[in-house]
Amino acid sequence: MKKFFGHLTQYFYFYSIVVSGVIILALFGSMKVKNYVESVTGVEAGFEAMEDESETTEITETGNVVETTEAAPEENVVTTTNEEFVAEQDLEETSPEIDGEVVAEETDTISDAVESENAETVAETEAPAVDGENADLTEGEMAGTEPAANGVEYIYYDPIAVNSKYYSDPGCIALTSTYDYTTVEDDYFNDACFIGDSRMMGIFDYANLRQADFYCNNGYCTYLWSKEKPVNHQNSGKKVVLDDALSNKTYGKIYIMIGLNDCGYGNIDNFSERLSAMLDMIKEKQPDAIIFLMANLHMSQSKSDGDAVYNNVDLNAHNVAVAAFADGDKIFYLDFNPEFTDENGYLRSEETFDGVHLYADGYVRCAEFLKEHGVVK
Amino acid sequence: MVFSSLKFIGIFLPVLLICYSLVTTEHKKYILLLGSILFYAAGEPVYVVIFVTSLIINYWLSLLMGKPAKNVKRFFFILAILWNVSLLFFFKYYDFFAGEVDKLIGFERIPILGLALPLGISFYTFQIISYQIDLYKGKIQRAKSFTDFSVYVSMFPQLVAGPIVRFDDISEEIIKPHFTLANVESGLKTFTIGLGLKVLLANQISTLFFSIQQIGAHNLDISMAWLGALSYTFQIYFDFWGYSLMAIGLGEMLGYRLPVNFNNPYIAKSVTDFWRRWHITLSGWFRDYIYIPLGGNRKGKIRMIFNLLIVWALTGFWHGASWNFLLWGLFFFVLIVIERTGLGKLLEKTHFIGHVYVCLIIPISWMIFAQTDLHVLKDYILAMVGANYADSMIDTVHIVRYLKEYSWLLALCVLFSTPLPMKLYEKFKKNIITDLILFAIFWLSVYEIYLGKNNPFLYFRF
Repeated sequence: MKKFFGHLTQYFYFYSIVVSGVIILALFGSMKVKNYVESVTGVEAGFEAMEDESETTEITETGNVVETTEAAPEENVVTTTNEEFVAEQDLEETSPEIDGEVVAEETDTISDAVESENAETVAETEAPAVDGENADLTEGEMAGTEPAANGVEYIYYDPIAVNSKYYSDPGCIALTSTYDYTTVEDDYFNDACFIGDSRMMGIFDYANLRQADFYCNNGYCTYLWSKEKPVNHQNSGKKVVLDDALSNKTYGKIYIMIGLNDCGYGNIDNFSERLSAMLDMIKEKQPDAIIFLMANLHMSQSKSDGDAVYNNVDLNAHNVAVAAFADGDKIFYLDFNPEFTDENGYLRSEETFDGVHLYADGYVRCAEFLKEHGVVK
Repeated sequence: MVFSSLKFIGIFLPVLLICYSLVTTEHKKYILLLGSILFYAAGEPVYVVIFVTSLIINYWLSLLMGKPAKNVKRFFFILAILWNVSLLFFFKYYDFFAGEVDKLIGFERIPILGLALPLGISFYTFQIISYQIDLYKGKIQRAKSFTDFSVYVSMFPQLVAGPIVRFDDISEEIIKPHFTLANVESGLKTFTIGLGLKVLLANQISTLFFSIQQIGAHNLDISMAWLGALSYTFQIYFDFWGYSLMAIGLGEMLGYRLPVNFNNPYIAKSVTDFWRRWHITLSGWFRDYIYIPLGGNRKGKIRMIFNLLIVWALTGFWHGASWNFLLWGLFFFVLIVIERTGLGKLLEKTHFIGHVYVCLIIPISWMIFAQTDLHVLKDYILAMVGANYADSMIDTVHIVRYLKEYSWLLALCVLFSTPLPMKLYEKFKKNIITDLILFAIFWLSVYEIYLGKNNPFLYFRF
């Protein structure tokens, strides 16, 4: 017995690791088995089930029905176009050059100088890929599109086939909504607040707009907001729940760039529902604020290609969903992607280190864009 | 499969150790060989074929080298060296040189193959070359069997990232490994320290360098550039030292004594001294198989400088097929030649100046190493010498924030760059408190790995 204990103490480290390892492996194993049994017996574990919980969906859906009066026509247009194009694409699949290429056609009704610039960059470079039939169809669809009530113009193209249950290619790109924007000075942002993820933090860090309040942190998204997760008030470093922060102070302008990290949480409809709820909350707490919905910045080719979740198609789908909430009166959609992307919509590699975030000087250019797109009433 | 993964720690290692302990001493090498091939195949399901082929060809050539006729022996020796060098060249350098030639002539004449680099090829090629040279020179007895030779090359602790082992270091242990519980315990401790260095220091500090690179080299000021360089200096050291310690610990658990690879490099007092302490098995390899055969310092000053040039150009390129690595090697070449004039001895005598000199030179050298894009490298070095002050986007706020966030980690990194922690460990190795600390380090590291694994969005959270 004494010998046994002597042996144990001599090799204490080895035995402690082995024993704890066996315990942890057993716990881990039993958890896996439990999960497996549950998945077999129909009680689904994990995130997707959580997202699809019928209760949540119902509540948000009813919320949405009340909301849709403004956004409905626009959404309809987008969806029909999408469906039509998917059908069209099935026919077209034999021509490999077009398959997967972004095909664009410039809209006629673009009035704002910046937007026509944006559209040109996209349309110019992609125009050669348009074949007659598609172009006709696009124009036909465009003719059916009333100059959007919310001021957002779309560039349409052949959507690519996406093998995902969370998103599909919307077949269009939303452009900065039309409005007679004015160039504003720094003091415009004195009563502004910014809400977003790590890319918004970049604007806080380097764009010299610290007179505004920044509510953002790494990975922040509408999903985390909906779970009432706190967000960092960057200026003070304090963690706050967004709803509380917006109750305590009155803002004249609210800038929101959110959605990239939502790619990891549920599908596009889930995202729209959550963003809708978020905007309702903001409109309730800040009835007089102008809301700027900023497009999520695209990713570089090396980052986007080959990633089933975080890619530009998915991100563009989120952006199109974001743009649907613009109303041209109190809510505006701003897309500064053309400042940073190449002809295929990829974030240019000289603008970024990791393919997702801009170099510091890029955020200064973001701020310049925002200053050129002030709304004064 | 890497050592710091749950698959390795949770499945591969325990299963291998159990099997290993069940068979007799003479048969342990078969288990080790099988395990090593599986280990390699887990990371390289296709290239394992090339690896095994190379093992067979090398063993066959080593047998042919046993022929008494001197010319025949020489012929097969040269064939063996050629085979290994061309394999390495083909996979590691072909695309790079083809691309450069294409760039030079202006159009794509030589096709780029785009082949992935086989795991560990730089290491196992060097190990095999050392075996063939030692065998040719009669320094070692030929491996007794194909299994013995294969175990020597493929042994999983050192297969992927060294240390580069010589055959006579472990030839006896292949036949008779010292597999005891005491060795397993001691090896497990060494492994834990390595794991901790890799997961709790290197991986953590890596986010600092990553964030600073995200700012963009052209936007950095001198202080932020140095903070970045310093963080990478720590990252690469703890990453590589940790990996080497894990390898040594695993070797110990299996009953092998693998050579030490690092000896507190950052307390060196000259660059020459630094390279006596950094990646010792690699610099030893270049010394014994390139520098000395070329004549070393025995053929006059000019020849010595030429030999050093060759060694350092090769050392640079060995680390990667890119110009910045060559630049990195030549940077050391220049410094070492200067030190050879007598400056080095002076530096090593004057402790303070020597330390300051190394602390300034080494971070710069790591930036040459880290920045594969030459434009970025230029911007970064300019920032480090304070030359792009006007373009800097950095405020005191940013530096204060990073220092606040990373001060503890940086302090730990400084501490572990000194010999003190390992000295304490050696002294109190048998103490129960040491055991408890290591226990905490082990499970904390595993937990960190687990978090990283189950969090695919992790890199979006910077």
